[in-house]
Amino acid sequence: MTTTPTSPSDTAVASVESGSGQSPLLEVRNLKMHFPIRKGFLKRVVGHVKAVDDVTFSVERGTVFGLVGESGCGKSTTGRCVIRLLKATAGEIVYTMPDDEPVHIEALDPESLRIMRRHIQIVFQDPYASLNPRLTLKQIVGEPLVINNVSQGQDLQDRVAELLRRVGLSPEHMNRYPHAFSGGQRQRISLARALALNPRFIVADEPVSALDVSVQAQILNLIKDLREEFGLTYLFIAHNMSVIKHICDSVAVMYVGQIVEMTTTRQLFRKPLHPYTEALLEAIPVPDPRRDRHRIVLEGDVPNPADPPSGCYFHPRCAYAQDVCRTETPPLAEHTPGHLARCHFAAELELKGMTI
Amino acid sequence: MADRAETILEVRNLHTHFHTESGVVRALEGVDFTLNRGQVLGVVGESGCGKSVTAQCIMNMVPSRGRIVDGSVIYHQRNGQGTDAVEITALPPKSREMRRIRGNEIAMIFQEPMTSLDPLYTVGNQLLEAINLHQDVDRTEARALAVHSLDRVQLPEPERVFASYPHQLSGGQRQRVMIAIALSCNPTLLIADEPTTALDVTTQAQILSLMRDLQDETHMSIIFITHDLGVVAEMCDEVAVMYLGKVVEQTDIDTTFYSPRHPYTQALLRSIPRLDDDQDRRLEVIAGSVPDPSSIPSGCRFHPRCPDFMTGVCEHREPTLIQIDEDHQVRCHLYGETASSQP
Repeated sequence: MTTTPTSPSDTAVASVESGSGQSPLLEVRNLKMHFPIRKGFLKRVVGHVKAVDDVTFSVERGTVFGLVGESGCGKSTTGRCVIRLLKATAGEIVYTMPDDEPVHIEALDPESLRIMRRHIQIVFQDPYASLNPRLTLKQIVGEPLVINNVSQGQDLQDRVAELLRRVGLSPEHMNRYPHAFSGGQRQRISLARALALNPRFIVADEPVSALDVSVQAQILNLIKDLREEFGLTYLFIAHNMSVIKHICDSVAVMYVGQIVEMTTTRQLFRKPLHPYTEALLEAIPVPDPRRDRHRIVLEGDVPNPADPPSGCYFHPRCAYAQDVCRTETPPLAEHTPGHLARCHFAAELELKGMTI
Repeated sequence: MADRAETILEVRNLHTHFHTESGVVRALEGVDFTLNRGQVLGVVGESGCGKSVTAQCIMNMVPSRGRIVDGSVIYHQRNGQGTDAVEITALPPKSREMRRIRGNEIAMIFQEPMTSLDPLYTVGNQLLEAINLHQDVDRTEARALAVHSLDRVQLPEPERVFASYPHQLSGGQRQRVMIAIALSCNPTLLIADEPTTALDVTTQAQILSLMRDLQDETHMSIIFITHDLGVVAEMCDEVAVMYLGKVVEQTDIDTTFYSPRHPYTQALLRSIPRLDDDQDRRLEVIAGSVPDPSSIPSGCRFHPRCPDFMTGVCEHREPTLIQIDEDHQVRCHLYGETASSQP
């Protein structure tokens, strides 16, 4: 399956210092997504929910980059801004085309955006809500091919069959409707649809959270296989640390709209630098009854992103907080090469990681 | 934890069917387990295995389309000297006796703290309702009990929470309120149906730790229904694994994780991503997916997905629950006479 993409119009392409052929596939710089809070008869804007607040990261080619955090931390909003399902308030999203030309996704006009979407696809969490119950598999998986005038007739039929086979479904089921399939099978359908246009980059927003354990493993393996086979790059959004550990090469931990720590998966689990990461690791229920059941539990709740605490957003729940944390916002600083943390005491604290 | 092994609840050969427009759904087709006083029993399984229906049967609150067609639930109630065996499944669901048992003896908490609290009433109102219904106390005493129960679940400022509406609380706080309501009448058995599934990890850790503390303090027995094997390992003393309406294995927590015998339990444990995994390890998968409850496989229900499937046996004969050790039951032909008589 070869789709030769047409370059988005030049107007949308801003110049980015071109790397030596190995620039990251995607760079997100200072991304902000602020949702207005409206109140009263005139629906005046009385404040903003800073769902994503100054997020910067880059995804290298062929890798899986994880975004992890609890509900409301802004991980899904970030994912949606990246593929422009939401128009970011501010910031840059730079995608490198196959010919190494950088494209600013946030500035694309509708026509260029449509072309861009051949390269970037998304898989959603809930396979029950993301598939149209009135369409057959052939229509669902074939739709992107039809819309983009890639294929029709017998060729379309053949391509859909091949895609279904690739994700482990039987092509004979092409004329069935989604209701005939289980959750795991539906997630396979979503993956087939995402792969239809031969994308290079997939945003996977909690793709296994709604699935049963035994099926979750099948889908995780499939995601890994597809990466090898099609040279895919993923932005993998999840709240489950064990899943992140299993699939991601590097990870960013988010808390109340900000990245609080970012490094390789291995480093993050071995030697976390941010107290929130430590708490997240500590909170995971471990399937081993011989492990000590009593441990430190993080107190309190995630703050309201419309009214975050002063200073470091994590200070009211942090066991190591000091006066400076209440007043000064720590920057996301590089502490060891490739390991960033947003904590005043990242260099001094000896946090507990996992022996892996 | 229990002084000695004294049974509090027995579920025997429970069969519950639902009569729907598209036919009979056999939700439970043989659920057996025993719970000892002061213990925490985990009931584990994937969606559709009948975990929640089992809980409804124990509470005698099966939805109207459902009927318990066979089997029994026996609750051993403490009186002055010994215990009385009450057959819950024989009581009419709306009888005075059953209503006394619910709440006073057996209480339940649900998965969705958002939907199980009434948004129109304050937390205090909902707590007082439970207390006034089950305990003979006057207004001031009832209020004091209510505030005390909020304090017991470690809610900060219990007086303020008492006057709050559910929407003013976070998910974790709501689940604490649910626990406070369930425990307000000091039940001896608590059924927790996926109590932490809708919560974030750090909040889940808080609720689990709270439940452990309360269990240590009151020595109540808990049936903990979950699909998360990590949560089971942290909370339970005993585990019953369910697959498609049947208990396929019951044993103590250590055996469940370190020497499970049923192929389904073994496969389930191998398929979870673990933190201490090598990243390059492929997760082992259970082939296929859980069958639809309206088209259940013949013989052993797990046979189409089973790695140890024995042709000629498993697809024809339903295995029975076999006692393979003092505290270990398995429903599998591998451990029955059928297996040894095979060539």
